[in-house]
Amino acid sequence: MPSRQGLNRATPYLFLAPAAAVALVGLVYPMLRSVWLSFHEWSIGTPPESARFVGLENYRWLLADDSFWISVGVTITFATAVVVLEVVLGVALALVLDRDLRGTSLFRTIFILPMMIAPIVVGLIWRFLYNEQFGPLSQALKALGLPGIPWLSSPDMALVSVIIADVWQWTPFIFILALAALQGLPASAIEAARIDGATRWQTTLYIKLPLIAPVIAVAALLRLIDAFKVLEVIYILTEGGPGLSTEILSLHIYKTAFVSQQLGRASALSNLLLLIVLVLTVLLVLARSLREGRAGKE
Amino acid sequence: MPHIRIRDLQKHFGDVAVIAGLDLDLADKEFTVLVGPSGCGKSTTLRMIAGLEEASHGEIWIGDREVSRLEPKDRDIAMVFQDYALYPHMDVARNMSFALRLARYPKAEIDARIRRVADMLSIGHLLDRKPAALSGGQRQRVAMGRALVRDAAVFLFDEPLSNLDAKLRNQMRAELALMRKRVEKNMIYVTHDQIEAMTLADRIVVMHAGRVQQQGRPEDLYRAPANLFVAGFIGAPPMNFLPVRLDSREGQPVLLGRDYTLPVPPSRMAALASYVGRDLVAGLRPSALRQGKGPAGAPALTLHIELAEYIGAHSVLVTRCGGERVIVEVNSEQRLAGEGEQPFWFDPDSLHLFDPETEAAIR
Ligand SMILES: Nc1ncnc2c1ncn2[C@@H]1O[C@H](COP(=O)(O)OP(=O)(O)OP(=O)(O)O)[C@@H](O)[C@H]1O
Ligand SMILES: [Mg+2]
Repeated sequence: MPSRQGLNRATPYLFLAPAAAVALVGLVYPMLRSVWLSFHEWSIGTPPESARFVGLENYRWLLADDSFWISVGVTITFATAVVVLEVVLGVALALVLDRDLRGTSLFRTIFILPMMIAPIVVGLIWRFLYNEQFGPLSQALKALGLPGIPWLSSPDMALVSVIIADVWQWTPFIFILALAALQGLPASAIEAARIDGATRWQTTLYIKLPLIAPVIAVAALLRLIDAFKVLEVIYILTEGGPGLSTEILSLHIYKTAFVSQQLGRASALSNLLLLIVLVLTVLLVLARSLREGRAGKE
Repeated sequence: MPHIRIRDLQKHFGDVAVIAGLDLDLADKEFTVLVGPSGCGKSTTLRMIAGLEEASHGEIWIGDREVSRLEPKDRDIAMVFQDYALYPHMDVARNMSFALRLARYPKAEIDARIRRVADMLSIGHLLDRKPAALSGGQRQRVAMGRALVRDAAVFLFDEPLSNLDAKLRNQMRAELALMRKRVEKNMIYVTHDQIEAMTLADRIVVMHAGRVQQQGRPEDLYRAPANLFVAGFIGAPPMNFLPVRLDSREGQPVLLGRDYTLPVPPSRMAALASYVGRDLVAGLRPSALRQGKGPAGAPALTLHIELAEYIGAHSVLVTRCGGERVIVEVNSEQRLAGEGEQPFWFDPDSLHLFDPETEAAIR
């Protein structure tokens, strides 16, 4: 008979078992399958038995492929740019709108709308906005007598344009989380800062921002992970072009899988992407716990 | 020197007047205590002085500056919040030094002050802890320390001991009493607790229903309450109130109750001239009543003792006088065995008289 003690120790796992089972079927199996696939060569439409084991060949090929490294560069540029811009803009807007003035709640509601639009539709909206002949942006520039901007047709500008679209769609995400965090701050700590002689700006800098930093860090991490996986908007705006200038990794994977039909290589790519995101996540979590450890000792 | 002058201060929330015209004059270096029942507007008053709440009307002068339109940081005020309001992300030392760092004090000066105040409050060993790692009493002292390191013109305390247990509260009260002798500053202190009010205050301001009922030295409020509210609020156990009618008996004015008759104190004869035939309220402190037969001519009451509560040095007798309940406080040493009807007497000058319509004291 198990001792009472043993039973107690096992009990939590008993309750976790169903969730663990679901995670096993829903998460671990596909991941293992993807790893398995990355060691094989397999084309869409052929039966799985026809997959040929190739060892690390898919990975070797990838690492030697220039288009892979370009795609990594584009992805890192894109992800860093959007996360930095979204955090800065989202937090700034939250700070501005964190007050009870007439109209702020309406403004807040309007402001979070982009986030609720399906990514495909966001892509279509921006494709229209960026249209170099009859898009509103070009029309406006023309009306002002300014030269047109090659929004999507120049390689440099295209990356900027997709960054703008992403910032437009996802700044609200940072905004609502930052706003919720600000409104959850202890009002009395902020009053204490006012009494202690802090200006509005000093209160923001020394009290509000440090207190919402943990929330912002998590939000930024979520955005970063998402930015590495973004697909639809860029697919609709540029399909990765011109050239490879906006071909981020997920688009690269998509093309490898469904255009070149090389599922093994696509899997290898996915695994590398997963690895990058995983490393990023671990790094951020480590950085946070390190900082907290230091703060605790201070 | 910065004395504080408040003129016709008002605060309305919508149609509700929470503070309906407050006038106060507080001398420099005075320790002023605001007392009053819950919801009477003490915190609101303090917050208006601090600038956290905008006044609907009126003026607040600190020294020769009218501050009621200034931001809190421009009013030269330090405040201890009822709920501590510590900065959760800063350790104790940084909490205490925040204002000084903002004001760009030299580092050596900041360190010296923190050490001095921390020693005074016995929190020197906690300086590198975050607020989350402190007990309630420790947080309370940090909150106090954060205010006391500063050179403000006015210090505001909003029920700073309200969340402490009785022992810690007594200890902190003693610390405060000592401290206020050392740091001679303007202090305004809000509390529900009359012991705090009586022991700490140079001046007590009793508030009720958004108005000042009476202000003055603790002993003045205790000896000569201006109205029924103050009489019932200051002093524990509270004053006994007996309904009486001023009548004449054999040419002598007397106070007639339902089952008792009280002589009119000679010192009050003149003031009572216009009250003949009218109802009054007589007030007697529980400690004014003495058991036994008094000296000849002393006013006497026969009380029916229902319950004797022993609470240490004192005992509280719950008695009945006719239809009225009368509380008597006696020295436990002299606690007499005895139940039922017992004679009591009191000094005629310890009798308070109030006009039941205006509730004002008659003197
Ligand atoms: N923002 C507000 N809106 C409406 N009424 C308010 C507001 N703030 C306070 N009040 C009211 O003002 C009155 C005075 O409140 P205040 O906090 O000053 O009381 P207090 O004397 O400090 O009471 P306590 O001893 O319980 O702390 C209360 O009746 C309260 O309900
Ligand atoms: Mg209060």
